[in-house]
Parts: sequence; C-alpha cells; structure tokens
Amino acid sequence: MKTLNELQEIRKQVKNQVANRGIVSNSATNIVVSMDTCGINAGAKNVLKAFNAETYRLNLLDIIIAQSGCGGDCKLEPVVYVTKDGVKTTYANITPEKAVRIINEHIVGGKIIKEFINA
Amino acid sequence: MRQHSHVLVCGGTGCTSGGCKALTAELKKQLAVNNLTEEVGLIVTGCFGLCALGPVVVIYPEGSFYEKVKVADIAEIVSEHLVKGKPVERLLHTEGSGDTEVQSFADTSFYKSQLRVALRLCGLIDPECIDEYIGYDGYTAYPKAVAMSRQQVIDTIKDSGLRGRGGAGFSSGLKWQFAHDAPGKQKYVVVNADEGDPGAFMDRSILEGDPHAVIEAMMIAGYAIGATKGVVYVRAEYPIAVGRLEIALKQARQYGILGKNAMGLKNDFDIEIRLGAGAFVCGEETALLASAEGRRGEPRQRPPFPAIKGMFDMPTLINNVETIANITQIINNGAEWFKGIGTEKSKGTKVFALGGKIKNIGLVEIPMGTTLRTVVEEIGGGCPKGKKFKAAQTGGPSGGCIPASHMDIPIDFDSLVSIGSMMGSGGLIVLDEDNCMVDIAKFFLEFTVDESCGKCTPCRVGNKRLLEILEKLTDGKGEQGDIEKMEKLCHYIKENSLCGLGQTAPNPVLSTLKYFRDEYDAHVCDKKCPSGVCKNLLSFSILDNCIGCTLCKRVCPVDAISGELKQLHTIDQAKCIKCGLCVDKCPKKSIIK
Repeated sequence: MKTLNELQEIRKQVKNQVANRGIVSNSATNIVVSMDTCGINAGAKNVLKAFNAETYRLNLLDIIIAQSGCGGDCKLEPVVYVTKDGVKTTYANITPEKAVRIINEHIVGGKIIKEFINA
Repeated sequence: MRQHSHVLVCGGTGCTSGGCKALTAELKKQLAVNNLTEEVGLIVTGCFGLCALGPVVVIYPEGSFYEKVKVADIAEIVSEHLVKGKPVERLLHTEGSGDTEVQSFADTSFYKSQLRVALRLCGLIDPECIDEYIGYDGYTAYPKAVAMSRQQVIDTIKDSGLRGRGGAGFSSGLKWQFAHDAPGKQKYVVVNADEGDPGAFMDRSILEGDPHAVIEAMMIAGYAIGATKGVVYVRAEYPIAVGRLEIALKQARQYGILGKNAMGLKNDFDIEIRLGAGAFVCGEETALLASAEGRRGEPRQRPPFPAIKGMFDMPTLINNVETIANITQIINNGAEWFKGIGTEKSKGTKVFALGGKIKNIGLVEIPMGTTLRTVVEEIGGGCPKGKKFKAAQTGGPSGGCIPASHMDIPIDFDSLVSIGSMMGSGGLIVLDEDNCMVDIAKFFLEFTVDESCGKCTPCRVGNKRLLEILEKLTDGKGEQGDIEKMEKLCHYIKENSLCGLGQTAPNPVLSTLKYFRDEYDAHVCDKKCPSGVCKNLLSFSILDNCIGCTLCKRVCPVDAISGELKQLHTIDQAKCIKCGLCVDKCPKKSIIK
C-alpha cells in the first residue's frame, strides 16, 4: 500500500515530468533553443537535452523549454533565447556545458552570462 | 530526464471514431524513426472538447493545436515540429476568417470563455495512468476530507451551493445530509453514468478523460455519509468510458488508494461497476437502483427517496457524474472558491455538449450565468453557412426550446425554468432557420415514446396519443382543435405520470407551442411547413425565370421534371417525392418550396 508520503513523492516526480505541459507565454520564464537543420548540425539536440536534464535535476517547475526554427544567424548556432522577468537574452554557440551554467547562473542565480552573448 | 515535448492525442469517443488509434501508432513509429522515443512523451488523453475538428493533436510546450490530423500528416509533424521546432502551419487550428492560424489552443475563442472545473484534466492527462492524476494534485482531497469530521465535509458541500447536474438541480449537500442522517447497516454511494439524452456526452467524457476524479469523489462521499460500498452505473454501450474506469479502479487498488484502510487512513470504501443495457428510463434514480440490483429497470413511487430507502432498501446517495466531478476541487479549494463562480442561486460551472447546427460541435464548460449568446456565437462559432439562429434546445427530451429572442438570458437553473425550458443534464442542440419546430417536438416525443417503460398509463398511452396528433399535423391532416387537444393532454401527462420521464416528456411540445405557435398554426390551417421540412406539406414549383438548363431534369431521381432545352420546365406533382435535389442544383434559384 502506498502511504501519503509515498503519494507525495510520486506527485513531486510527476509534476517535474509534466512541467513542460504548460504553454509558452511572455510572463513565464522560458528557454527557446533554435533547432533548425543548422542548429541541429551544430549540436542543438544535446543542448536541448542538457537544459531538460538540468531543470529536472533541480526540480525547476515553472521553466518552459521549447524549440524554435532558425533565427537566421546560422553561424552562431546553437542559439538559445532566454526570457526571464520580461527580459530576453540571446546566447550564441551554446554547448551542453554552457547550458548547465545558464540554468544555474542565469535562471536560478538571476545573472545574465555576458561572455555567452555574441557581441 | 524531462522530455522536451509532450504530444497529446485526443482519445475521446469522437476522435476514436475519427481514427486516432491509427494516428497514435504512426506517431510511435515516426518518433522511433527520428530517435525521439526517449525525448518526446506520447499521451492519449480524454476529450479536448472540439470534437468537430477531430482527430485533435496538441503539442506542448507550445500548445500547438492541430486539427483534422491524418496518418499521412504525422511524418511531417514529427520531422518539422518535434525535430526542428517549426509548427506545421497548414494543420494548425484557424479561427473563423481562416487566415490566422492560432498557435496556442488556450487562445482560441472556443476555449477563452470557458472555465474548466469538472473537465479540469480532460485532455491534459493520460486517464489510464494513475501517476498523472496524482501529479495534478490527485488524491489530495480525500486525505483532507478524512481529516475533517463527516459533518464538516457535508457542510462544506452544502456551503458551496453545488446543485445536482443531472437535471433537477437539487442541493447536493442536502442530499448528502439526508443519506448521512438516515439509519441503516450498509449505506451506498451510487454514481449515475446512464447518460441517455440524444446528443449528450458530458458524463461519458468525464469518465473517459478523468476517471480518478470520480473515484476520489466517491471515496469522499462514502466517508461523509458513512458508506463502505460504491457503485458506478454506466452504460455498456460506452466501452471507452467503462474500460478506462476499470483500469483506474485496478490501479487505485494496486496503489492501496481504494479499499480497506486506503492510504493508511482509517476508512473503508470500495467501488464496483454495474453495466446498464441502455434504457433511457434507467437514468431515473429509482429505475436505476432497480436495474443495478438486478431487477427490471422500472421506476417506483417516491417518497421514500433513495437517501432513505435506496439500493437493497438501504440509505443510498445517488449523484450524477458531473456533480461528483466537482467534489475534489470543492474540498481542495474550499466552498468559498466554488461560491465565487456562477450566479446567486446556481454556483459553479456547467458542462454542455454542443450539437446541431453549430460550427464548433463539442464539449464546453462555462460558468453559470454565461449567456446563451456567448455559448452559441462566441464559443460555438455560430450557425454554419451563415444561417440564422432560431432556437436552442436544452435538456433533451425533458427540456424545451430557448428562442432567439431569449438569447441574452443567463444560463442557470432558475432562469431556464422561468422561460419554460430546463438545464437538463447538458445537451444543447442548436436549431437554425431550416429546422421545423413541430418536427423537432415530434423527434423528441418519438424518443420518449420508445423509451417509456410502460409501467404507468399516462406516460405509456398519453405520449403515444400525443405523438399521433403530431404526426397528423406533419402529414398535413391537422384539424381545428388539435392544438388545444394536445395542450390538454400535455398537462395531463405531466401531472399524472409516475416518474421524471413521463412528467417531463411533453416539455418539448409545450415549449415549442409557447414560442412557435405560428408554426403549428401554419401546419394546421395553411397545411404548410414554413421551414420546408415536413415533406407531406411541401410542393415544389418552377418560377418563370427558368432558363431551361435541364440540370434539374437530369438530377431528378423519379423523372418528375419535364421540359425542353432553353424552355420553361415543369414538375409533375404526382411523381415528385420532394427530395429537394433539384432545388440545390438550380443555378437561377428558380425552384421554390
């Protein structure tokens, strides 16, 4: 028999898994990974995976991670757009390692990582 | 790991007959081909509501709403949307004008005016996975209720102002109180899922989309009135609803959520399913109980009400599916929250099955007090082909018509009764200028005559006689005094029938007589059907502006039309079967009814 605590544990885990079943809107914190052929070729798939894995690990529920088509600047791929508190930041040449830092420093820490922005 | 996208495929009855099973199989295949099985979740849900546009597929996190999806479209959706993040625009839902695709389904005018309480998780979770229900705060209300005293739980329901959604609108809290106060060794909680109104599918969709909400609410009701046994009486002809409920019960037992001392709390409750064979009268509570006990489904005199003497003569609480689907949220959010929705005397929301002459055929949930205009024009998208709205029929065979002149009436229990209709269980059939009201009354009466159990004479014989007069009118054999005779008979049947079926059966006739008496008069006096529906009252003729194109002559299945090329054509009335094919074909609109 499942006890109330065990049910709470399932609840927490499922909430974490279905966090993506929200809808992208301007008010929520969201991360959009550019995923057209150019982006995928430059490694965007692993970047997307890294974002999902890290938000799952940290149990961040109100972050929406979505994909988009090509933004036009193919040589800067993988490009990632982060919107937090209404401010949109564009990061270029993102790797899975950089993705982990974006989650920890920008999303959690609230600090934009200047060195990832293409000047 | 968290999956980056969730693909939700509607698995309601509508979309299932639209072929969603093949879509799911193809999605599975294409996800595997693109190596996305791990990263993308594939979830078969309950009804989204927009059944007219099915099969429906929604992809999160974008909330992209794909309509009328075919197997051939799946490869493109997977390779473009799921791999590259580019929604397939040609398949996205479009609003009215057809030029703007709606990216997110929360933004459609169909969903914007809705408030989903009973349908909260329909179309959002996988109803065959208990974990998903738990994840969306499922099974939190029951422990909360058990921590309260039985009386506190009943008081919360009473305070909330919840009224029965099956049609009559009786206070649910009071019903719970009666069942609680009645003495008896073994009490029962029965859920009425014998939804039989033509065109209604609210309860069925709740069972299909969110069965655990019904199970949890039954457990709460069981605790409140002191019942250890629950019964869901559901029609065998709703196989998806029955199947998902069975799965849900099995999973709940496996988790120890249902049964003896469930979740480690000191309370016993278990649920069994009783299948009904599809008799309309078994939606009436005393007939339902008889059928659930294994006897013939016939109603009996009330009182005693089932709360005092119900299943096996024991105190029994009977609630409708939609009523009970509100319970967990009233417990979780409080009576005050529920009271904040709706009108003074009708609290909360109501689910309607929109059908008939309306664009967005489907399932909608609106706060009580929303006007009929909002439901028909905004949510429903109006009548197709620019036809004029004539009336809305609510309450099915027990209800009545709301004419266009009352379109701004707020939809709640009391306002609908005040204009001669009723809320009913939630069927809402839209009629346009092409519908004949006498024919509509005849349709519903045919249904009740078929479904009358025959136990009492006023219903068995009275309704049959009523139908015969209606048939006389539509055959063009109406006589002076028929309408008055009908009215007298209607009141007699209403006053003398044993159960709700007979007592409400004449309502469609009475309400159409109230608002569309001129149509009845036209049938009797002029022998005409103003809407051109009743075939025996029609005669087709060709006007002088006929150009002699011969199209009508060629399409006529019985060769009733004669005439040479470029000459005026004529119709042989003796041969004409009034099929109307020639009217549709004529390029000059020269053929009139």
